[in-house]
Amino acid sequence: MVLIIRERMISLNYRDSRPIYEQIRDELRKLIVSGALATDEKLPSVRALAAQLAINPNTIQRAYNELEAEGYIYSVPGKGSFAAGNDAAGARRREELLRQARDLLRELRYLGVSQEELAALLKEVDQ
Amino acid sequence: MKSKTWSCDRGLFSAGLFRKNLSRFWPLWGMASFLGLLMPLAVLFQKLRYPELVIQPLEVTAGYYDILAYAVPIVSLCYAILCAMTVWSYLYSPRSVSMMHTLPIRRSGLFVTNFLSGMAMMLIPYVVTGAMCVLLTLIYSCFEPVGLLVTVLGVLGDSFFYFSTATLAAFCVGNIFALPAVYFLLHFLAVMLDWLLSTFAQGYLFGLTSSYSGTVEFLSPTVYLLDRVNVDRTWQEVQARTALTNTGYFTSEFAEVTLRNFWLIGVYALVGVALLALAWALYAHRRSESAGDVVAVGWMKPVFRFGLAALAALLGGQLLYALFWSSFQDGQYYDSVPLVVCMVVAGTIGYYGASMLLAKSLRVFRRSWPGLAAVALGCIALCGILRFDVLNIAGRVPELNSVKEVRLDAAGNSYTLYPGEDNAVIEQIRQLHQTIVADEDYICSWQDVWRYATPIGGDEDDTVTSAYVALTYDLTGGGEVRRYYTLPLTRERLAREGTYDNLLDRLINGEEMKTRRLHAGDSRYTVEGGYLYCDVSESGYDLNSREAASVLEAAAKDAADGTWGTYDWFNEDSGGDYAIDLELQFSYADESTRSSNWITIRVRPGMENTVAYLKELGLVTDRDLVTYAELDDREFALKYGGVPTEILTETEAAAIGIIGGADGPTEIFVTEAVG
Amino acid sequence: MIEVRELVKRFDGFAALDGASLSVPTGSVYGLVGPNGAGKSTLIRHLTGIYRQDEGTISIAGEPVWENSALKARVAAIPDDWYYFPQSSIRDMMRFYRSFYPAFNMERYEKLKEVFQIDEKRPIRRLSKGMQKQAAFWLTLCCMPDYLVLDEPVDGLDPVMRRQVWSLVMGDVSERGTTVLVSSHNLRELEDVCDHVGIMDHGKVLLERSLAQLQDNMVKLQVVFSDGVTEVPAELPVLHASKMGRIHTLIMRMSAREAEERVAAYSPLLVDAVPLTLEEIFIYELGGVNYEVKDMVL
Repeated sequence: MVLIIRERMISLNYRDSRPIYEQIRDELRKLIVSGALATDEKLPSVRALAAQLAINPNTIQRAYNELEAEGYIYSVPGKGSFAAGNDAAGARRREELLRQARDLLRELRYLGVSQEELAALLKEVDQ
Repeated sequence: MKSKTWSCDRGLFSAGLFRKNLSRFWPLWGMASFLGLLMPLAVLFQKLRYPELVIQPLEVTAGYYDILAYAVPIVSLCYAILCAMTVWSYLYSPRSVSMMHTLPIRRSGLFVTNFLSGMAMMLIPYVVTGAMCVLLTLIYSCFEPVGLLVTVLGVLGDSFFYFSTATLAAFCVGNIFALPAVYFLLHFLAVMLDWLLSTFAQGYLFGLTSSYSGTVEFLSPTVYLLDRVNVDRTWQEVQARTALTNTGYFTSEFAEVTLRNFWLIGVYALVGVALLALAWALYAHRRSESAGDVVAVGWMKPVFRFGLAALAALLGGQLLYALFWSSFQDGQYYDSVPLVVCMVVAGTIGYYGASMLLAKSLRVFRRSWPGLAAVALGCIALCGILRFDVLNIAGRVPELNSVKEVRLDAAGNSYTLYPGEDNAVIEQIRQLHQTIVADEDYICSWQDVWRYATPIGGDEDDTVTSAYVALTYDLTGGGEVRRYYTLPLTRERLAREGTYDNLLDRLINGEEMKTRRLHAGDSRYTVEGGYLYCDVSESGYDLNSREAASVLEAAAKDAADGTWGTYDWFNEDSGGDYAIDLELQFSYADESTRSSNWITIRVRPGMENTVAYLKELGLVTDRDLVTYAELDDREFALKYGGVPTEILTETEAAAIGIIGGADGPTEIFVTEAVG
Repeated sequence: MIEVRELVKRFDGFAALDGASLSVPTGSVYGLVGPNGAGKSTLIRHLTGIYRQDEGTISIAGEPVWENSALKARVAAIPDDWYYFPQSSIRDMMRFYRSFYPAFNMERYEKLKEVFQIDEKRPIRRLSKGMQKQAAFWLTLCCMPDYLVLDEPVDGLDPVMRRQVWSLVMGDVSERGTTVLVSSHNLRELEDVCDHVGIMDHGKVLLERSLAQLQDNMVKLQVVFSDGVTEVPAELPVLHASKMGRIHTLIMRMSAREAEERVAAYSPLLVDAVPLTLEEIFIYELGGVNYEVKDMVL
């Protein structure tokens, strides 16, 4: 299933066992984080997305709600939902990512990756 | 945007469904309309071919009435079931019944709309045909509004009634093949049972025959309507003159036509209303899941099961018996044990057949013993009742005050007697009947003898002859008692008082019955005309009503003199009659029936009054007064020679070479000049 | 709102519905799932006014369904074997439906003609099974129902058409607040479109939850315990457990977070929480109720 928002393709994976709303949420988040969805750019309406993807609108709504809770989007009554700036990334998200990072780091260490390599990686991302 | 064609909340009728039904099933009513049109079109073509052909309005009416009385019941019977099978077909498949009951329309709406669709389909062919007929009659100036109106009402009544019965049958079943089966069964069950039970009774009871009794014929409407609703044409004798020679002659003209018992159609139409109400009750309670079942109504299932078993036992049982046992049968009546066996076998087949249809499976044998036992018991009970005549059917002789009409058929004549005027005769008949019944064993013993040789008329064996006697009592409470006996008569018993032989002879050859044979003095009989044929001169003549009345009078005088009317049981031979065929036609009319009746007068030597009158009319000459026996002898002589010559005509004498002389003919008849 | 309470229906003594109850909130999409013979189709036939129940009540929008033609005008159903008149084309059926449904929308009919690309004048029986199904959707959606009841609706449609059909239905749900009850075996698909699920078996509705609740309250945990522990500790409330090598797969009826916390007490070497698909939830829910489920390697 493929979602097209302004020519950017987001692919949702059938075989992914994650719930759909999680996939949508994560893909949208990726778009916002990467800058593909600019700040204050309007997201497609829940209705339009539901019809386009053939997905229950409540599911779409849930994804939007979570993104809003995490601070990635904001909604204006009567107008729709818009992408928020990067700076507004929520604390919850930070924690979640840190947790995941912790798991990854643990695995990397297990595999014998040195601290120097990890430091180099961090530097790479910052650039 | 609301659609304009919505009608769901009006509830009782859906135009969309009505239209859909008519458009879906157009081949049916279209074909029927086409077939109906053939009739007026045929008449049209006849008229075009023979423009001088004049159609009288009265003939048109008579034609309408004929169709209404004799064709419409059968046509409606068959057409109604076809209409019902199309219109109610949705009930018989789960898919279609689901769709129909999902639609936003109440079941009452479905019922009314589909019923009206069916009625429309029933009536369209009649409308088309009728319009064509009206058009033609208007064009050819033979339009008759009253007859048309009566016919229209009759058609409406018949169509409504038959379609209501078909609708009722449709709601009893859940399978489209079961529908026509149940429908025809409903319509003919009464007469079928009547016939079956009569056949059955005949095999056990003295005096009954297998002809069906007709007591419940009203429950089989088609049979009843065809029988009772009749067209009566009245002809009038009119004096006319021939065009060319201006000679007067009598002819019959069509004067009037009436439809008898037309009100019966109205009665059945009312019955149709009641049946329709019953059908609605069934539909309102119908479970959609019954689609596909043979019987759709729960409480009807045992009725179906045991009903089919009973029918199978009655019909199949007798059939099996006839196939396998009848040649072993000892005596005139059924042997009970083999019959019961045959009935139980056939009844079992019927019972299991019905169970299989109801269960839609072949595995129905478990837990069926109670039902089977009931079937077997029923067979045994029926046979028992008849074998031992528990209800004393054979010996039943109705009381005088319980009959409204008595008919006696004996010695080639039929007599109808009514309480009040004919009490004495009826009592004689009753006494005769009781005596016959008392002598059952004696009569049956003769019938056993005659089983292997048909009863003979006394030619060869001069001591015993047979007489066929039929008695019919029409009861005041409705219903009939009919008995038929083939009685042995002996000379010895004829002379002995108190025997049925004697009683019968006294009755038939009594003065009372002689007068009746001539219908003399009975105002219900009017002599209309007659016919005379003389074998010798080979000429026939139609008597008009006045001549016939005079012949009748003469014959009555002869009867009073004793020269006519005595029936000889031992000699039915007509050899002693003159070779004259004399018949008189009567019309019979009372409040309920009209019919015509012919009687034959056998003219014998000695009937002076009759012969004199016939001579007076110039219809008969002495030459014709030859008996059949003498005629046979003469023909024998012509073929083989050696016959008294005094009776030969000159021509015949010349043919065989005798003329003149002492041995010649004593009289010379002048034959008519030829050419 | 669709309300079914303690519905009982017997056919010749056999109870196809044995006290079934369910509740579909207005505007939601309710998936009714269950094994074959559970009674789903029977229940649906009660909703559309075909069958009359022996016991229990059934109402839509607060009114009973039976013989309620005004209510039925707002309810449209597509059964698994949709009926059409033998000689009719889609256009003929359209005229027929139009005379019955007050809200029938001709504009939508014309629009959907472009979507489905089927010849409306062709006799329906000449169309393929899939196209017949599409025709059913086409006509039903034009009735603009407030309540849509679907029995195995997308069975036989190709993936593109499936998307198309669901897209239309979801559009109606979000725009007009249509309430949808759908019965299906295809749980993968239901997961996308439903927000409520009811599981039915042997004539009863065993459980019904919102999809969110279901998904949040069951978790599949893949655990590798530390060397001291070879078997799953008995205190852990586990619906189902299987093992391959040293990796235990535990199905637990609780949220992922809670499950991880409980297991953490045993200091496992590895813990991975995986959300369950609707299919798995279905199997495990029924597995606890006399339903034979063979051990599956998931």
